[in-house]
Amino acid sequence: MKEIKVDVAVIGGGPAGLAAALEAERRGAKKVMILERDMELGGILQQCIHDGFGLHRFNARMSGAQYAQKFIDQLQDTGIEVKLETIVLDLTAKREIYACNSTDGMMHIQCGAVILAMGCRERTASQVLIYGARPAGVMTAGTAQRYINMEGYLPGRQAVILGSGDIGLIMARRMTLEGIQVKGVYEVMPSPGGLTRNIVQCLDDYGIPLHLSTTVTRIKGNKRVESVTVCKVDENRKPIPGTEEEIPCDLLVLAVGLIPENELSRGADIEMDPRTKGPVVDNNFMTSCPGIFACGNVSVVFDLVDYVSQSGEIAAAGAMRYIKGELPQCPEYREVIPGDGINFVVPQRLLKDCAEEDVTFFMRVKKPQKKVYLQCISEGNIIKKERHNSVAPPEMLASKVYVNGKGSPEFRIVEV
Amino acid sequence: MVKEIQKIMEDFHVKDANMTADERNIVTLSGVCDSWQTLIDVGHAVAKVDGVKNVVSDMEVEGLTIPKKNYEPYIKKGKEIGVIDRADVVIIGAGVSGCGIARELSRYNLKIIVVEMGDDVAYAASKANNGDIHAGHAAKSGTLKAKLNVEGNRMYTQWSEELGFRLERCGSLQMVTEDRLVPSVEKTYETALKNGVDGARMVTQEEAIQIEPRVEAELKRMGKELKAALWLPSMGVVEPYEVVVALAENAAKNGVQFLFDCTVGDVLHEDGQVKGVVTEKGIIEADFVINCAGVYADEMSWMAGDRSYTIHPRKGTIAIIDKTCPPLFSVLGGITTHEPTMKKNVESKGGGMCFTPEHNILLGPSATEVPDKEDVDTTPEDLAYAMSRNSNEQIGIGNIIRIFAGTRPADFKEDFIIEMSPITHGFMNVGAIQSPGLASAPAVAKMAIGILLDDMEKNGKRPEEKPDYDPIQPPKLDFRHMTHEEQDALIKKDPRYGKIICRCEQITEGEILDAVHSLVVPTSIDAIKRRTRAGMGRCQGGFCQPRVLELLARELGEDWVNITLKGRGSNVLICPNRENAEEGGSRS
Amino acid sequence: MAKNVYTCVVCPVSCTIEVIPNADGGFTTEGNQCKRGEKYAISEHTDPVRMVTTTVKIRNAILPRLPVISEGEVPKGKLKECLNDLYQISVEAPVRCGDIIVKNICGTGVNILAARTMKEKN
Repeated sequence: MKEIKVDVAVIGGGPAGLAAALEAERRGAKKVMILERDMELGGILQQCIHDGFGLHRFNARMSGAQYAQKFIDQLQDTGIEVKLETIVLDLTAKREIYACNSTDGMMHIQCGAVILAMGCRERTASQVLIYGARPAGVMTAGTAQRYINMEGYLPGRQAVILGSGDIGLIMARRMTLEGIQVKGVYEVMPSPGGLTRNIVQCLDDYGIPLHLSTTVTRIKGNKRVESVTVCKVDENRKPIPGTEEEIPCDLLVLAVGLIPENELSRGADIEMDPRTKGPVVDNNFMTSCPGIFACGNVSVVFDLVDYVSQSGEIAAAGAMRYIKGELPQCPEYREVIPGDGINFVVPQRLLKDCAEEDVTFFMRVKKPQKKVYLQCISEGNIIKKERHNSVAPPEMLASKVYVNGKGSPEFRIVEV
Repeated sequence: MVKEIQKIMEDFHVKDANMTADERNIVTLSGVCDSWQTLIDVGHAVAKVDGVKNVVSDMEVEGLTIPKKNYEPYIKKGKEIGVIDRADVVIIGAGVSGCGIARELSRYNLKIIVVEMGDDVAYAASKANNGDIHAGHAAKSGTLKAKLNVEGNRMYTQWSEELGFRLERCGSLQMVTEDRLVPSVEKTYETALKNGVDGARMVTQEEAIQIEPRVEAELKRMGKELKAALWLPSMGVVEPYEVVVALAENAAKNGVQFLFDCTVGDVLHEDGQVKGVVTEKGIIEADFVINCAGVYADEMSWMAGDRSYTIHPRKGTIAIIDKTCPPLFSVLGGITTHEPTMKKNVESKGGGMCFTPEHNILLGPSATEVPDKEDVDTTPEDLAYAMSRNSNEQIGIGNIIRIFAGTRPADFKEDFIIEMSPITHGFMNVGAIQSPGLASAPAVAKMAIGILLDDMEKNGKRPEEKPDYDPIQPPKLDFRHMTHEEQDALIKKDPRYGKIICRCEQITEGEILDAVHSLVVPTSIDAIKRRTRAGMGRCQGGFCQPRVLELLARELGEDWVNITLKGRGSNVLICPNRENAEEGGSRS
Repeated sequence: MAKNVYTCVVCPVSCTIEVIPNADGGFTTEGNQCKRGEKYAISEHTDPVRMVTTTVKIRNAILPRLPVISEGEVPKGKLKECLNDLYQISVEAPVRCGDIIVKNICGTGVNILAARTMKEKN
């Protein structure tokens, strides 16, 4: 077995991992290693050929692949080592990694710090309780996207899409352009899950109907999908009997949510947050396991890749602080409190004595609201107040707050 | 008998009721019932009448078309092709019964062909069950089921050792904390004793804790004491398709031929002697035909001129739970604090909470009578039943990674039928092998072969044992359960094991290629899944399906669009992206 | 009658904006909360534009399809024509991100670029 020692190991070479590795090197890490399971870097961005990436970071309308390329190109001039088609099998709380690939065999990697950047995976048909048959022609939006955009094959001719998050909307347009008839996008919630821009440019432009408060309840067809049954739902998302409608189609595309992929984190006994389904992290994006950091969609599912990269950089900065001994070995924390109208806040906690620094908090609101203030309160004082004309759960709020004192900051939404 | 049957049909308000009985006391019923459940109830009630050997139902249901399979196209195709082969024995169906018989029979100098309608072994009931190797405590005493279950359970150790599949003889500990639940445990114990279940005994709380130390903490947490506990040490679990694949591969190694996508359309017979089968791939002549056709066994028997039972499909739905919620105990069974919240089908033992050798928890199966043999749809009602078997508060709907259903082939006698047809010699029924068919499989095979060999001997044709019969099937490489040192050594030897295809279950390219290049070639994505577990994890193939598809296409020399999810007609991809403006279908 | 009501995509407020022709040939808007909304709605009404993103066939590369993107927006009405043209072309690996795949596609004055670097198959 190969024995390897690195300063920083980054698990995952998608947008979070790439940003983290580059930032770690910029901050002086001598040996940085990216462990990527796919045959190339970039992660899921490589199949995202649509534009809309990098608006914040590069002030440009780039496709996912272009955005990834920017980072991949930067790697050229660095000493960062990239291991492709390499899978991490185990991660221990002592920052040891067991990973393997065809050329190196098994590697035992001892790390100064570990940055988790494994991303997320998609929820499946069983997980959203669609009943009926289990034929070919039921797939997640990501799988359909891979087949169409990377492999060059069409997985159906007439599609129904469940889920109006951005991935569902993007795939509605993409499939239409490829000649697949998209019969409709169905959304169980009363409001769309994706950005208005995508509703307009992916659905309205092509006359694809969006059905809100409607879900797919049943799949018909033992070999290949023959039809799906859609059904209106009440305010508790329960199907309303008598509203069923059978839609003939041969493809059901599921865009029903993403789940951070934390099997490795669990193996290292890292504390998880049941709301984000990612590790509980502090202001350095360090997990409950000292020296192990998490960033990107493995920590919380972000809406914008720009934030994913940013979280990678925060984690890398934290990792370098850790290596340099600037972080306490047995850290004490104060909690960050999601107050009125806020579903969750990441990071979930701050180092007790991390006074006097800018911390970016990422959060999602509980419900759509217009004309509100996002407030941050600490020790009874409002330390930050931002006006938002509109907030909605699909859109993450990122708020940079100058944290001082010892209090537990609480975020809340108040009407203007 | 006749009067009693007529009374039953009257009581159930069967319209135009009629019955006939042959010399064997096979009773054929006709008439119109008001519901499918009534039809089932009538069949069961008649089967319980003294003297009735079995029940054939020609009954109909008002307002319901009972789906019937049309065999004409298969017959037409087969006859056009003509005779393609001749065998000593043709086995219909490559489930655990068919493959078990094929494997056991392959030690003799016989030409054996297995014909299977699906694209792979374990295509139907044999894949869609919870893998329990039942001890034999749940079968009605005195039935063939009870006898073969206990015997089969015992024989599994040898099968597992020879065939290299995993058998975890974890035992079952059925514990109750309430006085009112004690009688049901005692009743099970009595049945276990009557059936001769190995090692069955009532144990004290202390003994239970010795058997599974975690019981102590759990009782403490609940603030309860055990009022009774039944220990069934012979209970075990397997991955059912591992068993069937191992049987089939070993049978193939010993000369058995397998034909997939090969539906039987007719059974040829003349003057009370079976002559062969007409399949969609042509006619195969044979001296013996063994009917292991699962839910279609009654129809095969009818084709052979022996209409002696009716299979009524009983659908079972199972929910698989993510490995992140491991089973509470290392034994099956568990602590019961209250009566089941949902009633089960009285004719079926149904399923509870159990786990696989990989320690995924399984909930179910349910037991729902359905008119359509192909109906493997999941329903909210069946899932609710499966989830009602859950006794672990930590587990909810959100932990499910897959829900699936299969149909069990039940007859109205609710017992196995293993016999040489008294009407058509050479045609042997191995029918109605429902639960505990998996646990009974070795004994079913032994009994069937016993009947067959006796018959051959009577005609002076007892086959010789082959000197080169090899009962051993080496265990499959199992990358994910190796130590890191072993994994390292394996990759050094063969780098293909260093490439992980299925991330969730850590299945390597090497393992998939081993499966593709085995003796019984899997050609679909599900077939690969059953052999290697690729796609069985929590992402359900989201990441690895395109990779598995690519490997299958490459290794089988097929175009991507020809690769199927589960056999004919289930192609994953339709066509390549359009390459010019005119193609691509429906865009206006 | 042509469409004259638009959902603004400039910010998350998503105003519904009506575009009303003036006597002088110009337009006024109703329903927008800001100036950017007015500009967006009038542009959608008079001269809607879209980015082109799709894939083209690539030979001798590690993957069969190369993602491409337009350098800027093209008239919405020309989008279909642009895509049809792109479905008919085929490029050869290696390709560098930013390479021009099609110059001035369909006379729009916009170039189509490779959206990633793709090496040749080894």
